[in-house]
Order: sequence, then C-alpha cells, then structure tokens
Amino acid sequence: MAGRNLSMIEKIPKLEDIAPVYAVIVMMIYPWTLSRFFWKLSSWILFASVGDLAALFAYMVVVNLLESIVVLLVPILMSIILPQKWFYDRFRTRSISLVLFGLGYIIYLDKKLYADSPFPLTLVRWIPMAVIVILVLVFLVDRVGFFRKVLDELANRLTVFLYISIPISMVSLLVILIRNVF
Amino acid sequence: MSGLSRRSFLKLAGAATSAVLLPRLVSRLDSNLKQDASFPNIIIILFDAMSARNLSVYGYPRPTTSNLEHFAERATVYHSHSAGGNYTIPGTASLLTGTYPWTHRAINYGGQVKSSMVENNIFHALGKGYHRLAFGQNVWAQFILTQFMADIDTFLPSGTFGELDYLLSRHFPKDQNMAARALDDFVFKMEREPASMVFGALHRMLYFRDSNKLNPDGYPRGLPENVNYPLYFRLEDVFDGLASLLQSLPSPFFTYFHLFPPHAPYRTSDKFYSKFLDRLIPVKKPVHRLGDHLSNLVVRTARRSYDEYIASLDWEFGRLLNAMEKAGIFENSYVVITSDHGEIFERGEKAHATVLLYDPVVHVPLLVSAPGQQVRRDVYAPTHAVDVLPTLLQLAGKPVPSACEGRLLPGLGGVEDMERSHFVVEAKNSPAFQPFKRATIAMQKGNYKLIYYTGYEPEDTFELYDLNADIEELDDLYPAQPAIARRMKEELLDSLLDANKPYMK
Repeated sequence: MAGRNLSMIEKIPKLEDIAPVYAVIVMMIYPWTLSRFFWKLSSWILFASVGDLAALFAYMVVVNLLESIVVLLVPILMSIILPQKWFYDRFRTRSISLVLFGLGYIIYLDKKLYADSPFPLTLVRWIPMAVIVILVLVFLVDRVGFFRKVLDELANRLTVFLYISIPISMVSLLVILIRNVF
Repeated sequence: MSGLSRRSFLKLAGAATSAVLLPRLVSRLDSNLKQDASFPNIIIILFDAMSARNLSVYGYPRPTTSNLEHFAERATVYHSHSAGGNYTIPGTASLLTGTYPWTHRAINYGGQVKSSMVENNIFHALGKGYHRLAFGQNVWAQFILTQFMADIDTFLPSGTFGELDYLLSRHFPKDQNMAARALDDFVFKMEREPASMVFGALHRMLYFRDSNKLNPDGYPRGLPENVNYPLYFRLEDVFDGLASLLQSLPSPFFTYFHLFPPHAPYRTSDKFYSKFLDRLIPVKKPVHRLGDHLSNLVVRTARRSYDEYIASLDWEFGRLLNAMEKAGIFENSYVVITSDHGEIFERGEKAHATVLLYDPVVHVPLLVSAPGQQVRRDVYAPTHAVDVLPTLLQLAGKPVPSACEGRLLPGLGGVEDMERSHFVVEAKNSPAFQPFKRATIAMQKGNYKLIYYTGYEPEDTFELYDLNADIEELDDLYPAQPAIARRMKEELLDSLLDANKPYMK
C-alpha cells in the first residue's frame, strides 16, 4: 500500500479494522447508559410492566446505536480525509486511542454538565484545545509499541460483544419503528 | 426590521404560526365531529402546586390573588377542597379520572394510571360531542394526558407558548407517552449527568447555549422554567396563547390547561419582585420527624418567593379573564380554577417533595364560575378532587363512569355533607400494583382529619386534628380523643384494606 497514493474511496477502512474500533465504542457508550438504566429501574419497577420496560430499553438502545455510529464516523472520516500515513495505515490503533481519549473527555464533560449548577462555559470554550491535545495524544500513544499492542489486543477481545450488541440494537430499532410508524 | 429584536421576532413568528395553524388544526380535527353548541363550554385551568393556604382569596394575609378574588365574585368558592395526592402524578390522575390514587394507582414518580382505569378519564366520558383539548405544561401531567390521547381532539405539547423547548417526545406523535418517559424523563433528563454519553452532552450544551441567549427582562429571578426538563416560558406568552386559543375553539369545547406555575422554581415577574418584604411571621410549628429539617430562614425565603410568583400568575390570570370576557367566552362557559396539590412552607419543609400531608400541601383552591353567574357562593363542606369529574359530566349531561369515587359538588348539583369522608394518598415509594408498604394517608371526615403513617418507622403512627378549631394542625388529638380516633382509624384502615385487596396474593 505504501507504493501508491490511495483514492478517498480506497481509504475507507476495511470491515475487519472497523469492527474492533466499533467494539470499543460500543463498550464505552452502551454500559454508560445501561448503568443508568439499572439505576432508574428500581423506580420504574414500582409501576411499569415488563412491556413498558422493554420499550424503554429499546429507546435507550436505539439512542446508543445512533451515537455509536456517529462516533464511529469520526475516525472513518479522518481516515478518508487525512493523508494515508497519518491515519489509514494505522487506523485500528489510532482510532481506538482517539475513541478512548475522545469519549473519556466527553465523560468528563458529562460529569460537569449539571442542570442546576452554573453552566461551565469556560470548559466549553476549551473544547478546541482539548481536541488538539487529544489528537496529539493519539499520535504519541501510537508511537509506543507497548500501547499499540495493548489497544490492539483489547479491541480484538471486545469484538465478541458486537455479537450481542448489534442484534439487540437491530431488534430495538425495529421495535421503535413499529411503535412510531404503524 | 430595525426596531424588532430577535425575541420579538420569534414571538411574532410563533404567534403568527399559532394563529394560522391552530384554527386550521382545530377545524380539521373537528370536521367529523357532531357537536351541540347548546352544551356549555368547560374550561379547567389548573395551576400546578398552588396551595389554597397562600391565596388571599382564601384569607391569606398577603394580597397574592386580587384577580382571583374578582373572579370569585361570580363563582362558587370551595373552602375545604382537597387534592388527591401531594404531587403532580396522583393529583392530576385523581382529578381526571375521579378516583383516589389507591384506585387509579398513579402513585409513583413518573407513574401512570393503571390500564383498566384509563377509559375512566374525563375526555373519554365527555365523548365526541365536545371538542376536547389538553395542554400539560408540566411534563409529568403530560405523562398522564398522553395516556388519554385517544380521547383528546387537540393535544398541545408541553413547550407550546414557550420560549425554549428541548423536549424530544413531541417528535414521536404516535408513541408520545413512551418516548417522553424514555427520552425526556431518562436519556436526556436535565438532572445528574445525562444517560446518553454523547448526544446527552451535545443536547445539554445546545440547550444551555440557547437558554443563555434568552432575554430574562421582566423576570429578576430568571425566566420561569420547568424544573428538570428543558423548557423556558414567559407567563405573559402562555396566557396570551391561551386567550387566542380559546377564541379559536368550536363550541362546545372542553379544555384542560395544566399550567406549570406556581411550581418551583419561583420566578416572579418584576411587578411583584420583593413585593412581600413585609413582616409576615407564619405560625411557628415543630419540625416533623419525617420532614427535611430545613432552617426557618430557608423556608421563609421560599415562602416569600412563592407568594410573589403566585401574585405574578394572578396578574396574568386577570388579563386572561378580561380577554375571555371581551370575547364572550366567560359568559358561556364553566370556568374551573384548581390545583393538583399544594405547597408547604413550615415544619422544616418547603415545596411538596415530602411524605407529610398537612393542610398546606393538600388544601387546594377550587373555584367554579357557571355561565351567567353573577353572585359569589361559598361552600365550606369538605370536597375533593375526585368530585370534579362527576360534577362536570353531570353539567355536560353525560353519564358518570361507575368506577368514579367522587360525588357532585355542592352548589353544582350536589349537597353539602359535613360528615362525608375523603382521602389523600401519598405512596410514591410503594409498588403501584402491590399492597402499600410505605405510605401516608390522610382521611378527612367532617371537621376531623386523621393522618396515618405506615412503613416509615417500625411502628405505624396516627395524628388527629380538628380542622375547625385548629387549622394549623398543631394540637394532635389522637391520644386525647380516643373514641373519634378509633372510629376514624377503623374507617381508614378498612378503606385501605379494600383498596389493597386486588393486589393481595
């Protein structure tokens, strides 16, 4: 691949490279919401039927599905737009570290964004700087072989969870479509 | 456009859209309905969390409700009217189904009327002879209303007439109830960190960006907002919207306006800001062992803000009343003013997130003006939220559902019964479809009120008050009046047992 410049279409990563990245995204996004679902469950089970709980779960999973796809699009777009050597050639490890740092930062933002407290405007103004720092970290981490290996191994192991999350997400999407279209 | 601010432009655009769309929507929805204009219009205006104890129309020393007093001159004023519960879900469900919370089972935060009771709602009972409109500005009231959507001709989302609306459920018209509970009340709820990691952060940032752009002019404590949900509104816009909406409806119509104010946060308009810097010192009461133990200063400050907010609301209500009179709507309608629950500022408690059922949190206003009524009538007999449904159905010439637990209001077909028993139920921490494990139940019979606390402490406890002699509920007669206490206790426990029976294994 090093011999010629790839076209933009050719720089779309292969499915076997996308899957582990998506697995990392799923394993960060779904459990975040799922843990809150279980936290709310104690109050829901006071009055909601199993059918109601299933519908609530379906809405939650569809939101997670959509946001995981949006997050996945970021490294894919970077792979397409940036020079091949910068991202496409190291798509898997750079994407995984991008996802970990990026979502980690969003978790930090989430923790700060309380409704009743003064809105952390300063924090929001620093978002561009945070993005730059994250990108620098992504490229630095990828230079360390040990980290590369850890990220790669981690992603490979997480891929198995896609066999659970994707079918559940598809069924949930179908449920929401049926409830809202028919 | 040089003199037109962004807010003015948005208001103008919103008003123009409403003016164009609402009549069309109404007439389109109405085209298939057979309506008989000889039936009276019925307008329920419910002010959320409005305690009768803080209204000057009921004798409160601060002049909070001069317009309501004007309204009362041509209305029946019920002086001992109780809500079904002490927060929105049970209170609203009791009003709209004519049943006690232990019957409709909407008792939990975010809870719902049990499915077998849904058809018992007032919209269904009124039938298609009326154009039925519902507007729940409180999201939890909207939870209940979305259960009745099949019986509602025009359903207005909570953000209607608002300044800013980031609720998502309105985009799911076919599944609004579940979408509201899943998205607005969970995934994107404005409390703690969002349950959606990425979209939640984005949703919140966009909301705060837009809310920062709002012009709070006229509201020194900030624009009124719907606590925990992303909705801002201006009182004047809401009431202007209601006035023009009422003029566009085909007769006969039934409207249920569940307005969020004066629910906390108490955002008074500048006309009434610091109006009550008086030396009002409420009766000192002991802090209750199950209360929040807030300081006197916190409670007194909250009370003052609440009173100022009520005065702001009353001022807007006066404008609505004028508009209704000018349009000839008032003379042709039953106008019902009430609330779903009260608000308490005593015993170390503020607002209504409490297990206590003292008078301020359950005693709500009820004023009913009949078409053409010219004189005031006062009713002192105990009445209850469950009485509103049968009374209105009877006035509309419709049969009352057999499951209804209320009776006709005195002065509107019913008679005063000083010995009648009624109940207020607080059981938010009990499973809806099991016998109550933890609850507070208040039973009023004549002058006496018995309060039963179960499940909070190892031993169940009772309190008994004579509301005629001791409206402040300071002197617990439970030990001193054993005969009355025993009789009322037996009746309360028997009624609770009956209510629990369907859920016993």
